[in-house]
Amino acid sequence: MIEAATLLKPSSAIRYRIIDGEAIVVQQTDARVLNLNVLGSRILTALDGQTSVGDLVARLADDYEVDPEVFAADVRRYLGELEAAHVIEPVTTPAGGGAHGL
Amino acid sequence: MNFGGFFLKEPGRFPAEPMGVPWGEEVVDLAMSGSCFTFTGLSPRQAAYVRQRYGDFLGAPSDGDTPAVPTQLFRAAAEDFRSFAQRGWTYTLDRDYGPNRVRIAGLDLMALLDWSPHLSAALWSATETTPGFNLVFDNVFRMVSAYALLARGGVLLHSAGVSDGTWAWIGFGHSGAGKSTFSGLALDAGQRVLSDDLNALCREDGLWLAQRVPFAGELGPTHGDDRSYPLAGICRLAKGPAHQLAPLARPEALAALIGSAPYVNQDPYRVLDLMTSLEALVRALDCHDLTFRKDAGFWPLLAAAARPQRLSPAPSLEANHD
Repeated sequence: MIEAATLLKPSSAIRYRIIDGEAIVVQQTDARVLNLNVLGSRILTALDGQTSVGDLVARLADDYEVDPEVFAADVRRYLGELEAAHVIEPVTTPAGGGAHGL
Repeated sequence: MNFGGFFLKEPGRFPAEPMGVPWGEEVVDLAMSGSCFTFTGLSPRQAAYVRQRYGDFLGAPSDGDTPAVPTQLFRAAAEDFRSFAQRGWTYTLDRDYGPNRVRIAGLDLMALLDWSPHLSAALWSATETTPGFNLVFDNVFRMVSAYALLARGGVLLHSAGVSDGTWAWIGFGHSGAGKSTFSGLALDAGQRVLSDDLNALCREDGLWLAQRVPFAGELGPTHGDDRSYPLAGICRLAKGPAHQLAPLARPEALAALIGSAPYVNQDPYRVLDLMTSLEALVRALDCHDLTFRKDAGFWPLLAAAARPQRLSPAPSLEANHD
């Protein structure tokens, strides 16, 4: 479950490049290639392992005229899809605990 | 499964260095897409195969100006390799990528690509007879070619390359998209086919060129045309009921092209360079979605859509290539 305090970063198994605002993501394990749209690209590039999901949503919400709660839910769902596709991964702490569910 | 386990009985004995007993003393030089590939240590039988198979590409040793890519051939023991039924099985080389090395295991072969300091290769083959050695050599040569091109800012692309004698068009797409059909129809229309399977795309003086390589698909190899043709356009192919040419957005084109660049697109240490080269390609050329039916009526559409390339400086690559 991705929550507001969750820290995420691009998966170590991907390489990506931005062209015309869109991210082209290559999965190293099978050379699968994904296109992320402009919003998806902004999200991916903002995930630096230090910015929480809550902060990310707050930063992006200013640019989109949508209900903040709906926007937050949409972004979290999208992040869940990216995580399921192994494009992003949670930041794990040295103690072994994940940042998930904080 | 760990690297090599599918093909090798003892993957831990994969050679750490390019050393061993050569098959013989024969040397063959092949010149292709701006590089000189020198194969040493071949037996007479192996050399005869390479000279016959790659006759159009026989060249002279590198003069120092042309990048040289040496490959040493060594003997491997047949008992080092696993034997298994191959019916219904798709052959894929097993690869282990590193920052300065790529290890490769396959049917009766082990190979090592090394970038310390320049790209070179070693190939351990358990056979010198046909068809076993053909498969060994061709598979490794394709891979070495892909890396040599990438090191020069180019790309080996799964594609159909066709030309009107002045300009070239590249049609690419997934398996079954119609590369061989597209090539055959272009041939019927009096055009030239570079290859219906793999083509070299490289930059010279800022211009993207298509060049024939000795790797063909269903149409078989073409012979005799060693020219490089400046690219007029790139098309993602699809078969359909009517001819149609539509713009293909650069991000989508880039994604699709990455998927069509074999070997290097799975190398985590070099895929960023692949993306850099392909980004330069899609910025320089118009990209299209070409839907075509089974006649050459698409050719006027391509000719009408040809545009001069947008010239730009060559991008700098990041990985240690050579």
